[in-house]
Amino acid sequence: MKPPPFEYCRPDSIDEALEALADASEDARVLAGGQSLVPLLNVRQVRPARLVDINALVAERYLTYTDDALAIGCLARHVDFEDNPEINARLPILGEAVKELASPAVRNRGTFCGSLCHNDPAAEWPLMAVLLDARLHVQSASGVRQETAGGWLADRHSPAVAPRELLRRVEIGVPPPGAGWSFTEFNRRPGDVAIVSAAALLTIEGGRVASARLALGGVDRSARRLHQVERLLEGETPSEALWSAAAGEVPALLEPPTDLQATAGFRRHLAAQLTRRVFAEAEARATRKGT
Amino acid sequence: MTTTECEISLTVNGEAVREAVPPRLLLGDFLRERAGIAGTHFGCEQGVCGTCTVLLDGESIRSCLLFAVQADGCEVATVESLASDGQLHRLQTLFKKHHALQCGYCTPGMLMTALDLLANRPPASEADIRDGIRGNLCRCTGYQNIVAALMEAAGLEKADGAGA
Repeated sequence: MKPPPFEYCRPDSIDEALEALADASEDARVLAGGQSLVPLLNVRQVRPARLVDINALVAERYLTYTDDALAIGCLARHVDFEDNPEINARLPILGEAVKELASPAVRNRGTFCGSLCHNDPAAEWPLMAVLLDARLHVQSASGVRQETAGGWLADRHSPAVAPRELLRRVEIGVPPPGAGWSFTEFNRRPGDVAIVSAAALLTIEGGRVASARLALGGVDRSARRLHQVERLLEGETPSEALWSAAAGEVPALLEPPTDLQATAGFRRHLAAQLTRRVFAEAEARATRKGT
Repeated sequence: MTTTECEISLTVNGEAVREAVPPRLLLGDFLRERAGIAGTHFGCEQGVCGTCTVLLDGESIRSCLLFAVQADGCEVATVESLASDGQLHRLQTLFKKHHALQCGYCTPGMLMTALDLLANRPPASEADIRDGIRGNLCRCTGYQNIVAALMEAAGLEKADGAGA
């Protein structure tokens, strides 16, 4: 099959892009990397009246740092995270996640923000966004609003590009120095979309868990945090037994889908196993403070 | 802003091409049907199989996931750019030597992916090579020989010292 006809425009400025999104007669969508949108067009699962190609807005291709955050422009591509010394120093979990993402040709083109807009429930970037409490700057002709990744992504499911809006920039807080981290996913072949993915952040002070975060992908309509499990861990003494106990809580908190890849039961099993693994690895990477 | 044809000019394998194209025309279809060079194959048309991989300004991309209109002003290189003056490119010679193609359908995408891999993500091991071509399917399952060809291309030897 081939894509349905659409109006095409390639604006030279953000203002022009927002205007083109606003004044379309029907559904208009941003075309960034196209690695999620174009497959959907090719099978005619979506039929936007207009595509607003933002690839000429080269100034939006950036990863910039403030003291405590990374800002990601709407044209930053997956490849920009690969073998990136600054990413590996400040947010190594992103450097690890991008290795699992699709394939080189897709990474050359696809964008971080586009992946959040598409919001595949098992994709790497939405998982990172919810784990790291990303702040999303969503812009339209009528203004800018800020959203949290948890709120914005949970409301949507694939494919979920907000019509007439542009996800202009995402900010990710850099975890405190010494925080342990881990990311892992289970799939049938490297580069496939994960069946279940998991990521954790852990800080340890005085021999106890000071803070814990757990995010899972592939178990719901979008990647999500498991706050109940996080709260259970705070103040406890890190140990294999603690991680196993945390993992034991996970299956009952999930209503995963059954599909051709895996049953709900297998997904619950994977979610528990991966939870145990990511906490154990995060513990090994964490710098113990006050001990 | 239009659904009607857009005028584009781009370079395909070093030659300037100027065409009017509908926005929905995919780059791969443009190459095959408008530019008249059919070395680039389409497989899944969903970005999964890698068969349609070409270079856009030196980086590998899926030509089924890019509209021709987006290549306006760019340099596109296809498998036809490899051989010159009747001489096979070194990669092609190595594919031949190692029997790295059976039916040949995936070969153009494998070669263009390999060019990007060797130039932009130099592999240090067999694992790097397998990782680099993980987005390219060979339905003859002839991966061993493809990896062997790329090992030699990258100047690597198998860890166990065995030949391909």
